[in-house]
Amino acid sequence: MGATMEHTSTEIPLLRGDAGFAQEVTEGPGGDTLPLCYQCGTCTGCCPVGAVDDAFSPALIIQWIRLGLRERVLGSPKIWLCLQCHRCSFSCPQGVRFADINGTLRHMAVREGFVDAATAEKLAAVEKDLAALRCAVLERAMGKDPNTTPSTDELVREALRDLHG
Amino acid sequence: MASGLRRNDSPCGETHQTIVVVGGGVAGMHAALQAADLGHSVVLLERDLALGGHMAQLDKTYPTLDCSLCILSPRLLPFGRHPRIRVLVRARLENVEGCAGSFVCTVTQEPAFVNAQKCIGCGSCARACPVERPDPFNLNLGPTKAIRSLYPQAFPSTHAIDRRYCLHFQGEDCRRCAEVCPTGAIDFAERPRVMDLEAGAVILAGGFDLLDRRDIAHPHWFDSPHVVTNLALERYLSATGPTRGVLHPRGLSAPPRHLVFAQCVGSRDPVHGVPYCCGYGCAAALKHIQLTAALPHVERITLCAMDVRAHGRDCEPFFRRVQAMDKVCLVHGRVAEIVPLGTDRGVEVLASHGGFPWRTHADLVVLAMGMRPSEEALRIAKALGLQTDPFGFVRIKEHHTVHTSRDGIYACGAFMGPKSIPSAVQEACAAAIAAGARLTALPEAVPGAVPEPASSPGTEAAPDKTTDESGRIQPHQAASESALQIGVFVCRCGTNIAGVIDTADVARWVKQFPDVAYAAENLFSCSTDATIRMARIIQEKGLNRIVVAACSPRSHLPVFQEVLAKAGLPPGYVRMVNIREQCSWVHADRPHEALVKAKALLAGALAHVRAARAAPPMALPITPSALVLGSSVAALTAALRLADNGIHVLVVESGDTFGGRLSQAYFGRPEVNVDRLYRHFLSRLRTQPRLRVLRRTELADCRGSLGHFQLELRRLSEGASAAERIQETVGAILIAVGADVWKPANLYAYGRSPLVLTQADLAAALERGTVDLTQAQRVLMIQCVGSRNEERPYCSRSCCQQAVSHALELKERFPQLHITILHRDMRTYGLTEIIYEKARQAGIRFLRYDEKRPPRVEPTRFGRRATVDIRWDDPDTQGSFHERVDLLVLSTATVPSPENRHLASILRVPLSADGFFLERHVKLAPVETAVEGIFIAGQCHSPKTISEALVQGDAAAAKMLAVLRQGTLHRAAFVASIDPGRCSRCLSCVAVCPAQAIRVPAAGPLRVDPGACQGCGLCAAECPSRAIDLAGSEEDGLLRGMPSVFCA
Repeated sequence: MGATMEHTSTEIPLLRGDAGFAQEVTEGPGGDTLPLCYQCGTCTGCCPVGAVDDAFSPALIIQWIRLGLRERVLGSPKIWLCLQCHRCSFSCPQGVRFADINGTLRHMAVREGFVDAATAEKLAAVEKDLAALRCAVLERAMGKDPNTTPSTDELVREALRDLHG
Repeated sequence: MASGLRRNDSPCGETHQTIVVVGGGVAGMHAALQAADLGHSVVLLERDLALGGHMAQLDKTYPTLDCSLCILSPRLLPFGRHPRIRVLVRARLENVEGCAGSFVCTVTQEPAFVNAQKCIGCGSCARACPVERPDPFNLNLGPTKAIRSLYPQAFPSTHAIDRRYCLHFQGEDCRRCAEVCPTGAIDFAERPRVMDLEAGAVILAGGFDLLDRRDIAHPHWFDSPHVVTNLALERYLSATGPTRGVLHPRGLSAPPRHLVFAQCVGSRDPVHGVPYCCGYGCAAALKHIQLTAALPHVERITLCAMDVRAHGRDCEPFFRRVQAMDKVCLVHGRVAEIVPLGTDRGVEVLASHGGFPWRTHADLVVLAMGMRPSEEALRIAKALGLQTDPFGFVRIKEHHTVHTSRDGIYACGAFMGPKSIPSAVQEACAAAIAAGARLTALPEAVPGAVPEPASSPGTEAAPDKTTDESGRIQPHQAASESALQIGVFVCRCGTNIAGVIDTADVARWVKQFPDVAYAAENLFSCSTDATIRMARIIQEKGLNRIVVAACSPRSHLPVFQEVLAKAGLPPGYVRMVNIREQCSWVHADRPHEALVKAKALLAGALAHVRAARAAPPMALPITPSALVLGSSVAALTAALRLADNGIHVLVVESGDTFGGRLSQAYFGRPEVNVDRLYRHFLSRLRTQPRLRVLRRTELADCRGSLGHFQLELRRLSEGASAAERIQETVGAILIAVGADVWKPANLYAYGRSPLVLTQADLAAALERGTVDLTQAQRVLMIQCVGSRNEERPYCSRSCCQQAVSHALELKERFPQLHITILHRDMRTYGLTEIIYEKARQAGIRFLRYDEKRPPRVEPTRFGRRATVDIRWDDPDTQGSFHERVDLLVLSTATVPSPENRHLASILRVPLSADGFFLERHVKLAPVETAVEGIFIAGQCHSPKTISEALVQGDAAAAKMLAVLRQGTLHRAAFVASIDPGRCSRCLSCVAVCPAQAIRVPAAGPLRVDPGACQGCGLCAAECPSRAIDLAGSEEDGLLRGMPSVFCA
């Protein structure tokens, strides 16, 4: 069904959950909606990252926050994959603002040393470049006859050549 | 309960004696019928062209998978002839002035442009009409004409013109309908009518509407032909639907192979203003899965649900069977997106399973659409100034069952909240009896004449002479018995029969028999116009025996007995032969052989009807008193309601204390103040003179039948050594003995550790004040303990609400607690979904476990602190959990009382497989049992909440009162009779009779008590002297019919 975000089947000790973790997230932007989640999985179902990475689940991240699993969440590389498209927030029937909550998580991850600030900055820059690359690739693809369009990889190479000369 | 509290509002004028019921769906229909059965005049208003509401749009009903119209149409027919009921269709209630007892209702009625007195519902106009337009009854999925009836079996069957589509009203010169109408019923000049109706009370049953595309997050889903709503699926599966029952929605090039059922579309969705649960969506989906899995083209079915709410009667066993089917898989998650895949390539469904992304391809996605109160209901509530909740559902007065905020105005059905059909029917009956209290009290019920011992009905020598209870001979209606003139009606049942069997051929074939004077087909024999036509034909052609080849006599024989009554023939002269369930439905793939079988069955039925006896009416005197077994919530409600209506009631409680659950602690949300309720009942019990209460008393024996039950009770008073015997005679009996809470023996450490409690233990401790969790940190609750398993496959229904209420209570008192609820589905159905939301907001957590891997519980110690360790596996991933708590609470099953078996054997009523009392029909007879005169209410029927038990108690009281005030019942005696000339007094019949209906006097012949005899025929089969015959299944007919049936 999809690997857990930790690779082995571990036992999660609820009693060692960090209640303060949930509290802190609740105080961040959109965090007041955190308790409303009823694990319907709509966010996970409509997520474009989930569509390509079946271990990425906003619903499970919400659950783990509520269970107080600070290390599991803040130490996970997955919170950096969120596109911030807000499809989850829009689709959630309870109005849980996962995208905003994810932003809070990134903040906390840096603040608590799970990821150093320089890496976080680098990731932000990479996201920006990727956005520009994405637009270039799509525009290239639009200009061509769909039957003769080169593969995505080829389009990316062409776009990179355009962007950087 | 309102009946006892006479308020201070003196009526503004004299009390009107009519009840106006608004809404002609299943709730409104039953409210009208029940009110009329209670002796009141009723006017039933319906906005649409005919009665039936959404129930008429269903194909099959859950859980018995009865055809919906088949169980509804016998209820529709009484409206056509009931002297006390007036039906106004195309009618809207505009306003209600006045006060309880003297209302004036302003009603407008749209014109049909067809004269209802002249229209015979033949449909010629619709066939001739040149204008095709979308059919709203079929959800605009198929066409109908500008002039139409609502659906083929509709009552009233009067056709109506929709002027928006009619060419005549567009200014064109078209009068085709008027030209072809055989009775000249078309009247283009008809005007709308406005009427003022006087009413003593009003019952609102406005029902619900499904949400539509504007109400959901993804309206574009509806653009794909591969996506339909659950109601649309009902229409596709229905024989009267746009595809005649073939599941091949338009827009698809082939019947669908992969189905996905998407639950909670628009429901449980606060963002779009519908935070509550629709209550029936999961049951409907399970029903649909069962039906579509049987279709050969369906290969795979997926149910996508956050929680599967199978909390209704028999729903959980149904769910277990569906889940076990190979074709079916269950996904724990809501459908997030549906992506069309290009022309006719189906869609991709994106969801999640246990939190992880999940997707599949589908040819058809069925959306379980949410619901809200209907437009009409909302408008009326506003116009009448009624209090409603934020979603538009009408608010009921605290601790009442069906009373709105305005005195004299009652409500029932989906207008009160998300509802299943059985609940709506019970509320309708409760509303009828509550509304009746607003009118002048009816004359006190008078006992019927005590019968003389009956002599046996006719012997072989005089087959057409019959005796009634006092020994007088009843002449037949049909004067000449010289020649049998048999009429045969072959029903097409839409395409249900005609789609497999050539019914025209059957009708032609049967005419070969010399005594068959008439044979014809009907499209739907049960429709109003067909029954009127049949009665007319019987009289015109002088027919004196009738055979109807159609569906099951269980549901429809009474319909055709009514037809005979209309035609002046005694009821024994009609026989039905089932060529649907027993032929076309089971042999659909072999039409040639099915035709041969249908003819053979019909020949057998002809033999039966030739030997048929008249079965003239017998008179059953009714004693106007009742026995109520138990003193539960339902028992006390019913007892008081009956006593207030003039019936003498004896309440018998086997224990020391009254009230059942009422004497136990209770923390329920929405709040029910159990204390107040209990004190109210006690004070009313003391002051109602027609009520007697006996404690420490049990039922030892019961003889007799409806109207005349002879009881023997045993009472063990305090200090007495021997039991006192008490004899009583009552007209009806209510079983309301409640149910028990299961205490597990050594399961999850219950009994081993003081930290493990049941919810009932917790409630008691909270009330006593012995719960001290100030030092505690963690609490866990486990749901479904002892329920939903092999041993007890049912759902105990109220435990999810109870657990959430208790968790909220604990969190309020001890805010530092971490509370987790471990569940297999959260079943906070209907409006109780709101407290589930409150619980999450309060920080209470909800995690899943499954039946195969239940939690492992161990009491432990942490230094000096006693704790409990719980470990469980996550059902959908590899993960597992470990929790250590200071308190573990088990939500245990509601189990039938141990006295049920004994009571069931004394009263000869059946129990369900789980040991609860079984109702006669899950949907439309939820408080009656198989034994006439014996009723059930409360948890002894099935687990339920206190509010639901109050309603069921009122509903049972309504049914009982309708019978008890009759005085004397007259009905056809389809009973056994013993020929004293052949009887050898071997008493074999007495030994096998399940109803104990055979009297053995010390001297003189054996006699069958016609009131107790159920007509099962066991005695006739068992008698070695062939001295017993059964009216309705005469042995002569059966024997003569056998060669035809078996040698075809």
